[in-house]
Amino acid sequence: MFFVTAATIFPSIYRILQTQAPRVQTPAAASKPNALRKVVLVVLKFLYPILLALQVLYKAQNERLVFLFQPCHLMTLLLAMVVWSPQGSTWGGQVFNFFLHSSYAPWLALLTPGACAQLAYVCAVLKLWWCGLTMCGCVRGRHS
Amino acid sequence: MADTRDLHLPFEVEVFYIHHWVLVSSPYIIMWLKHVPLYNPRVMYAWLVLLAYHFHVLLPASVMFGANISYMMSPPRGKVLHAFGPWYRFAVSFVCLGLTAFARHVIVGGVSTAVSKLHQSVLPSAMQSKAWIASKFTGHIAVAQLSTGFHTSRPSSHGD
Repeated sequence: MFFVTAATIFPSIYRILQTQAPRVQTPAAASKPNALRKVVLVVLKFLYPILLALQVLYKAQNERLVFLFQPCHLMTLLLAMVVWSPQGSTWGGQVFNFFLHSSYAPWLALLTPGACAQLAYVCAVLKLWWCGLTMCGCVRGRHS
Repeated sequence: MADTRDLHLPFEVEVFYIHHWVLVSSPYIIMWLKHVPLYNPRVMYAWLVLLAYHFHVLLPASVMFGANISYMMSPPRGKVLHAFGPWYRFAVSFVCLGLTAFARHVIVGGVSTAVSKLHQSVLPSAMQSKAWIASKFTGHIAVAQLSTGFHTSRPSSHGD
């Protein structure tokens, strides 16, 4: 496994860097960024480094700095690179494209390992809603 | 619920949830910002990069420091992954291949397709035909002809 992935990863990285994939959305330089977009961009420019610094502080306090290798912290670093990159930059777009592929990882961290419990909770809430609607007469119940 | 058993410091759990909800929402926010261009999917390459990062960086680091980084030493709670025994990493890897394709093509692609359809319904027909084109290949917004020197067609792979 080690050698197989080693033999595939370096051509893959080379391929990612070399391939000019067709861009399917215009950079902001082509359209006019409005004031709200500018404000959100500035907020994000400081939000990602602050979140990363907080995690570094917590990990240093716990003496578990090695956990900064976790993919979520890596993604925060990548996102900080993306929002600090110049507008419409190629490498920023490619880094963001890689993040888009792995955007399921924070969902996994939030939902697993208790995904079944979460689903049961959602089902219970929906059932309560349905019971409430039935009692209020909004929908017709099974026995009415 | 998320695995927050090791988080004991004040506000550590809250920071964990804020951090992850920011990560969950940031694809849509950054796509809306239009700060960087959006490229076509590269599912296998992205999956290989993450796979190699887990097996070449995280697994040796876990062994070296005795830490269970990204569950590379032992599986999380639950009976499903424990049923695979020591092969749970490969099971998760192949599930993540599907999740990578799903994340890129369905979550991101689906939302941006819906946004482009919305814009198509709102914008006048002249702008629909020229400026806003929903790419059939990727399902993403393709905003063309707003400025010179920008192309939505596939650039030649031989010339440059």
